Amino acid sequence: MKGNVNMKKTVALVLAVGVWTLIALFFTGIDIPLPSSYIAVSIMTNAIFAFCSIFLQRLVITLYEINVFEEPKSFLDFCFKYFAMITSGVNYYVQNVLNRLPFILNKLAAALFFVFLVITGFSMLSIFD
Amino acid sequence: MEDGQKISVSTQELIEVLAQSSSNKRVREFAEENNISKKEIDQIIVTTQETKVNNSGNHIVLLKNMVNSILNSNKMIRFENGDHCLLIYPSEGAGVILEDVHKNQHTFSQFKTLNGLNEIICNFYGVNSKLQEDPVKINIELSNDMYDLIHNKKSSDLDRMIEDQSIDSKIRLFLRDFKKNNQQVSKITFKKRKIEKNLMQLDFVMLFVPGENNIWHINYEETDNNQIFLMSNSVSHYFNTLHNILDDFLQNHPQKNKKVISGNPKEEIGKFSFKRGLSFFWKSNLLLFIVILFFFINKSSWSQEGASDVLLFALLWEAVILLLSFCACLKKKDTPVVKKVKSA
Repeated sequence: MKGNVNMKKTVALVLAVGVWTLIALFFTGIDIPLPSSYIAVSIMTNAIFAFCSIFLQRLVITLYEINVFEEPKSFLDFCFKYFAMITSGVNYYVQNVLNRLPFILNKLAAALFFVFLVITGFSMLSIFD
Repeated sequence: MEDGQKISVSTQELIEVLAQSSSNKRVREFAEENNISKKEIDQIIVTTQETKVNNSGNHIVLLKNMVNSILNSNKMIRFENGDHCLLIYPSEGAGVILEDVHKNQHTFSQFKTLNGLNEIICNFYGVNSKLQEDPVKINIELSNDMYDLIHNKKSSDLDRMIEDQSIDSKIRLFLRDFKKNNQQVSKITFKKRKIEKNLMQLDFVMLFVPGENNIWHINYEETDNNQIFLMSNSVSHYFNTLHNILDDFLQNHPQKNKKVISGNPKEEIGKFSFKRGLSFFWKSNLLLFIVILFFFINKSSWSQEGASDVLLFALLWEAVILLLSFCACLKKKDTPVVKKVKSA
């Protein structure tokens, strides 16, 4: 039983990192080499989630919490967990903090954070030749 | 009112008393705990304005006092045994109010201390509280799946398992008690109101199966890997422990109650704390450091202005982290705390 859970965990982790690597490999086409392109992928996916969180902050936070902090049972649960951590982990912690601000400031900051992510994402292009 | 004096009313009478109460929300909550149907609850709310029946009977007055006390309480404990259930509320002064709900009959009684409660609870479950000795003395480990399985098995299948010589005799002993208990585990629910205007929330649940001469305590909390432990206890030991838990749960009631009433239950958490911000600060910096490290791994493929761009990247993120850390010093919004309790 225990071994089974561990195996699910490992396979899911490998799968998640595998998919991450695969997408990251596309970025080598625009001259961002491998370990750094991981970050480019993460920033871009986080930007997508950040965009959603401007409007549906509570939903995005809850979604992440359900995916990551609930005890995973099936293989798919593990997969979702790692995918969520890679694609929206940073966004989750930031939105969790922004959620403490008053409403207007919160929305403003969420919008700015989205713009910031997009800008830093593209600025990576200028770092690499 | 004297200790232990019983007031017994039918559901209809109880509804009439409730109808004269003012707080709809509390009445609804209380009625739900009493297994009064939604329709009847609505009826209460509707009749609130109309009925001003002068029930001046002595026991009705006492009952009204008790119901008011219950409606004002912020804690409750619920015992269930089939369709029979026992509710315990802290009463306004000291002591507790006991409500016994059986079919359409609600029996209220008030106790100054918790001392007599054990006997009542034991009688409620039909076990003998005097039994000091635990004849079984064993801990059984069950997997979650197994636990679900025995709940869903047909009783004839369960019988077969009980007869099956190949299964450990101790497990069969448990299964026999489990079957006798209507193939259910008994549940004691502790509820607490955290914020004055909200409903009570589940605080924790105790699960057990009463056996012939012992109690099977079900431990589902400290377990990992989907395991459930069944620990056999002597009846008196189990209910003494329960008594202490009840005492603990109800005892700190006066101070906590005051805090809730003053309307500022979160005050002790503090609105602004550098500690919270600091923890966010160092964690995010650690992440930023790793990111920059990744960039440096690819130093060979940087463009000519690469170094300054990386510096800019790091500084921009650092600025954002500082801003966010400042926000992180603020306290979290009050979100409902979801406690994970596996359903019985």
